[in-house]
This record gives sequence, structure tokens and C-alpha cells, in this order.
Amino acid sequence: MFKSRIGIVALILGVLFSIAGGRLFQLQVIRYDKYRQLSERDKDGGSQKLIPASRAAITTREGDILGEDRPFFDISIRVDRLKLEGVTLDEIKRAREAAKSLDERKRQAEQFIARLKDERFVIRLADALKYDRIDLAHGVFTAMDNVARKWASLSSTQTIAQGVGEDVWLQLKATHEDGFHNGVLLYGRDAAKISDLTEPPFPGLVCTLSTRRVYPRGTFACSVLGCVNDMTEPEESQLRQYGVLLESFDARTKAWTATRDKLTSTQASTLAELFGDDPREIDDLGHLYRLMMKLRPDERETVARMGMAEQLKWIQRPPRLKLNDSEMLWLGVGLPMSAARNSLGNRTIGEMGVERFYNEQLRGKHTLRFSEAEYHDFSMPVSYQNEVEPRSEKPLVLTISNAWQEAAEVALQSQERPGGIIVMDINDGSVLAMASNPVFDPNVFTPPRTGAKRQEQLAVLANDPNKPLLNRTIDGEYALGSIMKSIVMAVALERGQLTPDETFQCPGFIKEGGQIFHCDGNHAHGTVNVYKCLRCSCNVMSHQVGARVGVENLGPFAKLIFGKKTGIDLPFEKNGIYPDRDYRIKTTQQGKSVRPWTRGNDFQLAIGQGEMNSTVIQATVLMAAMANGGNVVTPRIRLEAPTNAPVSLGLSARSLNIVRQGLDECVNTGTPGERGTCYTAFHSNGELPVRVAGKTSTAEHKKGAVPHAWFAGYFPAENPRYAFAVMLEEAGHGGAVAGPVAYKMLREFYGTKTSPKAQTAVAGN
Amino acid sequence: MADTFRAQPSSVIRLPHVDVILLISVGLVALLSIIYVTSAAQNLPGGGASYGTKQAAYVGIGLLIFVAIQRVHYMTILRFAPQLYAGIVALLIGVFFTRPIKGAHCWYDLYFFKFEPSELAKPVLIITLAYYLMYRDSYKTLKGLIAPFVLATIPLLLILKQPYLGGAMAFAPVILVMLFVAGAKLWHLALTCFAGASAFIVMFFTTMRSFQQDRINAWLNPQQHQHGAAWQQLLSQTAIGSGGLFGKGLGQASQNLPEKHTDFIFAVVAEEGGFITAGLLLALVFIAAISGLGIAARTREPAGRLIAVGCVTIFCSQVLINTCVTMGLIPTTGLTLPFVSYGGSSMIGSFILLALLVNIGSKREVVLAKEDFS
Ligand SMILES: [Zn+2]
Repeated sequence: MFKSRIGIVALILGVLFSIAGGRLFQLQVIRYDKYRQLSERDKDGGSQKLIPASRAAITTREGDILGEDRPFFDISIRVDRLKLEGVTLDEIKRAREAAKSLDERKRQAEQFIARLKDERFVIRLADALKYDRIDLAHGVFTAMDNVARKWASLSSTQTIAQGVGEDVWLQLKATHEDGFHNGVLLYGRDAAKISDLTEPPFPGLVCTLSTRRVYPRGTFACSVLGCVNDMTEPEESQLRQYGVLLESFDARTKAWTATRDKLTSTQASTLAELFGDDPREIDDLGHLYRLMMKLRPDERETVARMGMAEQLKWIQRPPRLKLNDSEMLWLGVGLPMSAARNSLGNRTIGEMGVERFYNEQLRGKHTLRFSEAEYHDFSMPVSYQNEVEPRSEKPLVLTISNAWQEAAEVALQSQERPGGIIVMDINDGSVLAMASNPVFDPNVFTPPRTGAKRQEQLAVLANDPNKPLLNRTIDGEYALGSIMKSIVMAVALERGQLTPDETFQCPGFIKEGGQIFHCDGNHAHGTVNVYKCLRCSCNVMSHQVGARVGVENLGPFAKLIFGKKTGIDLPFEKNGIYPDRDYRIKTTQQGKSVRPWTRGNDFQLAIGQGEMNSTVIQATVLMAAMANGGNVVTPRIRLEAPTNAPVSLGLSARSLNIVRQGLDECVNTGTPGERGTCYTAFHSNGELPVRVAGKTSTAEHKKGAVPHAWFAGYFPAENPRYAFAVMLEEAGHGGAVAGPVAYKMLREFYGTKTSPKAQTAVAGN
Repeated sequence: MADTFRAQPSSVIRLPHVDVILLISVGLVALLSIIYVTSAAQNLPGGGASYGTKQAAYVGIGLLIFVAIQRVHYMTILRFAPQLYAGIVALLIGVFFTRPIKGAHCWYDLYFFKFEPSELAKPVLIITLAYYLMYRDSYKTLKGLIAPFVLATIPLLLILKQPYLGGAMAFAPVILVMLFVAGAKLWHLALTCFAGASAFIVMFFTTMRSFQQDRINAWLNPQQHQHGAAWQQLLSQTAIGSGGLFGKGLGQASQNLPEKHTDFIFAVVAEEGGFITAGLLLALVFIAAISGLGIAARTREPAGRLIAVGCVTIFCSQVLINTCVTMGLIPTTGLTLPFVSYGGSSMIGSFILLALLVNIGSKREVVLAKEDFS
């Protein structure tokens, strides 16, 4: 019986192996042709195809286009169809194998490019495309080299020239009409068609429609818009690994490692319970994100109390880029071994400005499509066959107003110093103008950043000592100077440490702790009250009032604005510095004692100097708070961005009215001897049809350096609607330099009383 | 029991009897493995050669273990069956307390090597079943089937829970076949079969549900991409079909098939080597299986023949499941191709099974059992 049962087992095995063998025969022999075709098509991306979507446009609040994708043509080749006279693929392969060092490889590449440059194919194609010959040779070499190192297959199409204009392409197409089928499509791909020609004009050439970011207005609003770039290789590999691109991945990984190592074992075990994984063993940031995303709100609170508040903030902001299902499948994300070398056709990603902050909203969502006919008889549940069309998002509408932005830029660029201007709605925080000087042309950054000319432009921008890429309104920290007086006075009044009637005597200087503090130019202001203090910017009185309040009592008010990000929806915003005890502890080296705070430091803080630092947007928010009844608004640049409920400074209307009176006098009191510091700037040319209030500031920041010039305020003074701030780096007196820039901006917008400008679309109306 | 074979030392044949056909066919399969792993891994970081070398090293380690096992009489190993069984259950439970790798508790990370206890569980389970069945008749009653069934089910459920569906699926037939050749009644087996299938279906759906839950808040975790597996199978089917009769040649496989050096290595063999190579591979496996069954048929000692049958069955069921997955006949389970797929655990586990089989074939001295079980 045993043997007979073994016999039965052998028989069953025989049957099963025959089935397997039969299936193998069916696939490989009977259906060979079909699968061979499918396999060929897969190589060209024929049966699975990523349908690209273009990046959404960016417009001003009036709907004027600031940035959009426009059609351009990419020229690609298939290396197996390429016909060259001299250089061969084998040669490149051999050279690659022979090369011993990276330098040698570079030398070889240069030699090959030099030879390719003189190939008839390259010469004629460069001529036809009006393309740089060396750049084109470089493209051809890279394509061949990719095949040589097996990064691409012989039959894959590889781009050799990007961004060819439509006119150029149409001309090329018209000259060689025979070589095409389907209009713009795949020149030279159909071997049967081109073999009819005695000499195919450009064998192996493939042309594909692509898009390219264009900023039609050049430098206009460049610091808001930012720019785009191709993803870097680390970014792309991160995307392939996780399906998302996280903001500042490396820095955060480092920060996480530090936090993790500080956890006590009790904390760790509590966290382990919440996470379901021991936090001390999480090395992978993506894994941490995943675990944190799963937490309920109450669990998040517990986690925040464990010193992981920072980490929780990371997951509030969406990642820079998050792939959809189609894209993940295409790239093989999460499949254990994605050997696929598929690439996202469009690797554009926002690098700065709104292009970066709103990258995920702006980028087109690609769709993967399978050709149904070829796969439906496999009876496999492939449900991606009829997915929706690739999706381009709606244009991103900014709060930037055309007329205001223009006015701000004209005014700012009318003088030489680097600086920044912001105009903002005092109630909802929408930014109507944000300009930084000097400017750059974002078109220069749009990929491809290749070609000698482009490289030169980029180098000029990168090496410019004036740093045109810096958005000085949010990314630069400056000594704030006398603008600080407005909040110091308001808080002193609120706390009852100062009354509007109280007077101080100003001899032009005051001694404290062996130091002499001066009013501007040692000018003696005589008898000074709070109005005159703000109007004429008396330091002597401010010092004393500031010392009465003190850094820690001012803190609860000032720290709502200073020393923290305003939360504007732009990347790279700086915190600025409010130098209270917390800050000093944080910046003191471990083991050393915290620097003591002296009365002299209070003196400095009262006039916004010493360690205190502010951004232009913070100064704008301060002025908005003075004007809108003491509410700190969150500035925003996207029209549809959610408005955060403003935070109240807790200042009474009485205190604020007194300060506003002072700020009004600063611009509008012209009595000789009592003249406001910004009177001249606003009243010596044409009178504006709008009454402005504000505070000048001449902020010394470095011994011997020219001070930063500021002027920040709001208008209309009687019924405020907009706040603004002007800052010019090392430009001199606030009243003499920054004031006139603000005046010029307002005149650009409103005209003068005698010749007002008809502003049809006043922002916010 | 140990005394049973010492009773007749005079009948011991000292010349080891080695099944040459079995060794040659398995050897050829391992050779094919090194060649095609090298080719399949050519675009992976580190390059194909490093994978090929490692795979050759695994074959080497496997051979060492093979030789070591030949020096011990399989009856000696059999004596430790209860301890081995307890050990493997402990290992299978212990793996749940390690950090999950790729979301599954399948491996012990030994830093230089990821050790998979489920690979070791295969031979141990076979030995345990043989140990239990060898001198008993109880399996001829339905009640008597419960014990071996429970013995086998405990580690199986643990493997299924890891989750390692493929491993559990490949082992299920072994229990049936071993009981079958031992002489269990057919209708009893049919009943067991039915019970097992229902249990499996319940398990399968509970495991599936937890995957679904994972997906909800896991935008970062597309591992369980619902269509990824089906798509992978389409790719592998296309790859196999496009290989044709003679194949595309070494290193010419399409680039887009995931896991092609491990679970989908058969697709690479078929695409690059064509029907002649892939067919040869299947034929070699079949020849090895038949000679393995031959060993079982020649062995008179009851435990030995059961172990031999068990080894052949697990080997064949793995090969059949794996190749049918790559050819799109059954859904993806995640199972390696023994002796072919890249990986140390799989290769060493396979060699242990082979070593047991050859060990039994070479020791023909004990003829204490009745000619037949009946
Ligand atoms: Zn003074």
C-alpha cells in the first residue's frame, strides 16, 4: 500500500508539473508573438504611459498671469536608430570600462562631445533647431552614455534638446514632412516609414510636446513667485522611496535623532505604546511621519508634552510633493525592489517663493494609462485603465495687487540701495505688494538650466554681492530701530507707567552705566511728551520709558510679533530676535551663565537696537496692529489661504489712539521746530490725496556702518486700511531715504491731490 | 526506539548509497540559479556580480551543512524531534517580538544575515510529523488525525500570522501527503482537507482586513498597493512570454519587473533563457522529485520514508506555487523558488531538506518495519 500511494503521489506530481510546463509552453511558444510585441511596447512605454499634466498658473488677485506653463518641444532620440559617422556606442562602452577614475571619465566625455560636435547629424540638427551645437552634442553623448551604463535601454527615447520653440519645430516639420506621422509625433520611430526615404533626415529623432514654466512679466513680483527647478537626485530618490518629498529632510532627520536620543525610558515606553513602535528605534523619518499621522488629537497632545512638539509641527504642513497612486505605480514606489527606471516626465518642482510653498497645489497630477485592448484578456484586475484625465489645478490666485505691486517696485527701484517694501491689508493680512530689491528674472531659473548662456546668467545671480535671490521682506533680519518706540509707548500707556501729559527733558543725550546714549545727531528735543517723542523720535525719553517697562513686561506684547515667524505662506521666513530671558537662555552655551540684562539693554531695546532684530513683514504686522485696534494678523499671500483669527495684543483703544496721534504727527506736523521726522518726505513735492501716519527709523546695526533706513506706517490715517513698511539696507536716515520711497509708492498709486490717478481696481474693494 | 536499529549491526552496509541523479539535477538547478541571479541583479545597487557571488557563497554554506548532516544518522536527528519542535515554535513566537521588517515579522535580523525561522520550520515540521506517525496506527481513525493535525497547525498558524501566506500555503499539502502515504483513510483526509481549507479562508480574510486598515492612514505606505501585485504578475507574464523558445540571452531581460532576483527569478530564467531553459529547470525539478520519491519507496524504515516524502512534497509545492505565480496562474503569495531564488535563508533551508533526503537514501540498513504500513 505504501508503494502504491507513493506511486499516486508521483502521478499527481506528474500532472501538476505537466500543467506548469504546459503553461510555460503556452506563454513562450504559442503566444510568443503577442508577448514579444507587448514587451517591445513596454520598453517604449507603449502599453503603460504616464500622461503628464501641466503646472497650474499663478495670477495676481485681479487675474493677471504672473507665471504659467507654455508649450515647448523636447527633442529626443532613440539610440538604436541614431546614425552617426564617427562615434559609436561600442566605443563609448569600451571607454567607460577602461576609465579608471572620475577625472578620466570626464576627460573622455569632453573628447566625445568635441567629436560629436562635428558629426554631420549634430551640425545639421543644431542648425535646424537653432540650438547650441555643443549643448546638443552634450545631449547626444549623455543619451549614448546612459545606454552604455545601462541606465537606459537602446530603444528608450532620451531627450537631447529641451525647450525648442514651436515656430522652430513647425519649420523643421515642414521641411521634412515625409518623416512624420501623426503630426507632432515621434519622428523616425516608424522604421517602415523612414526606410522609404533615401536618406532619412534625422534618423532616431523623436519630438515630444512638453511644457515649460514662463514668467511673462519677468522680474515682476519675483521675490513672491520664486522659481522652479528640476528635482535634484537626492530629492528624486527620496520620492522614489517614500512617495513623498518632505521639507528639509536631512535637517529634520538630524533633529529627530537628537530628540530621540534625549528621551527618557519612561517617555519612550509611553510613546512606544502610542506609536506601536519603540521611538528609540525609529531611524527613518518617513516611518516617524507615518506613525504620527495616525495619532488622535489627544494622543498628539501627549506626544507634544514629551518634547516632540516640533516633530508634530512637521506633519501639519503638507509635504512639498506627494505622489498620487498612478505616479507611485509608475515609479514603483513601495514595491520592494523598484528596478524600473521610469521617470516622471516632468520633474519640475518649486524651489523658492510660492512656487515652493504651494508646489503640491500647483503641480499637475499625472495619470497612468494602460492600453486596455492589450491587457483585458489577461483577466487581471487592472483598474487604472480608464482613469480620469490628468489634472492641472486651478490657477493659484495671489493677494498681490497689480497696481500696488507695480507702485512698490517702481518706488523701491528708484533708488540704489537693496531693500524691501510690503503693503498689507490691516484686517485680513492679505499682502498687496511685496517687493525686494535688487530683483532677478525667475525665467533664468526655469529648467533646463543648461547651455553656456544660461550658466552665465545663473553665475551672475549667484555671485552678486547684493544677493538678489534674498527676499528681504521675510528672509532678512534687520535692527528695527525707532519703529519699536510705537509699541513701547503703547505698552507703557497701557500699564499706567506713562500718561499722555507726562513730560521728559531731553538735553540730547542721557548717561547710563557709564555709557552715553544720544538722540539723533545729539539734537536736544527739550520738553518731550509721548506725542513729540513719536513725532520727533526722541531717544532720551524712549530710553527712560523703556526702562520703566522692562524687557520682561514688554515681552507678552512684543513677543506676539517679534522673535517668531508671522506665519506668512512663503518659505524661508526668519524669526527675528526678541532678546528676553528665554532667548538669552536658549542662545547661551551649555554650562555658561546667562548674560545679565542691564538697564542699558532696556535703553537699547526701547529704540529697537542691541540684540533686537526684526523682519520687514514683522514691522508691517506691528503697524497693522497699531492701526486695527491692536490685533496681530497673520499675513498671507494666497487669496484663498485660510485667514487665521487675529491675536489681540490686549491694548486699549485709548493707548492706541495716543500712539496713532503720535504716528500721524510724525508725517503731518510741519510746524518749524516741531516738525515730524517724515514731514518733509511727504509734504515737499505734491500732496497725496491720502493722509499717511507712520514712524521712521534709522537703525544702527554695526559700528561705523551706514544705518538701515526704515519707514513703516499705515493709511488712510483717519480710517486705516493698509499698513506698509519700507526698509533700505544701510541707506541712511529713515526720514530722508525710506520716507521718500514710501511717498513715491503712494504717489505712483494714488497720484497727487492736484492730479489724482483713477485707480479702478483698488485692492480689497 | 533508538535501540531498534542497533539491534542488527551486521546488516549495515558501509558504502554510502548516494542518489546521483538527484544530486546532479539539484546541482544543475543551483548552477542555473547563480547564473540567473547574477543577470537579474545587474542593475541593483552593488551590481549583479556581487549578488552572484553571494548566492554562490550561500550554495557553499548549503553544501557544508549538507555534508555535516550526512555525518549524522537521520535517526539520531529524529530522536530530538520533540526538542526541535519546541525550539521552532519558540522561534516562531519569538519573531513577533522583533522589529518588523517591511511590515512583517518574518525575520530575525542577525546583522550579517536575515534569518527566517519559517525556512527552518519546514524540515522540523516534517521530522516531527514523521516522528509522530512512524509507529502509530491511530491516524487511521478520524480522532487519531487530530493530534498530527494540531501539531502541524500550530507552527502553520504562526507563519500565517507573520504574515507569510506563501510559506503556510506551501506547507499545507505536506501534511496531507504525509498522512496519505502513511496510510490514512482517504475520506478522513478529504474531511481534513475541507476543514483546513475553511480555516485557511477565514485566516486569509482576517489578514486581508488588517492590510486594508493599514492603507487608510498610510499615505506614506504604498507597500500594500492593491494593484502592485497584479501589475507585477502581468509584467512577469509578459517577460516570460517574450522570452520565446530560445530566450533573449543573458542580461537582456526587461528592466521593469520588481523582485526579479528573488520571488520572480523564474521569469528571468524564462525570459533570458527561453522555453528550453525554463523547461529544463522544471524538468530537473521533476526528475529530482521522482528520484526523491524513489528514495522513499526504497526505504523500509517508516520514519525515513515519511521524511523523504515530506521533503519531496514541500520542494515540489514551493516550485509549483512559485512558477504558477510568475506565470499568472495563481495570485501572488510571496514565495521563493527553492535552490534558485536569491537569498541565504531560502538556499540553506533547501539544502537542509536535500540533505535529509540524501541521508535517508544512503542509509539502507534498517529493515525492521513491516514491508508495508497496512
Ligand atoms: Zn531727544
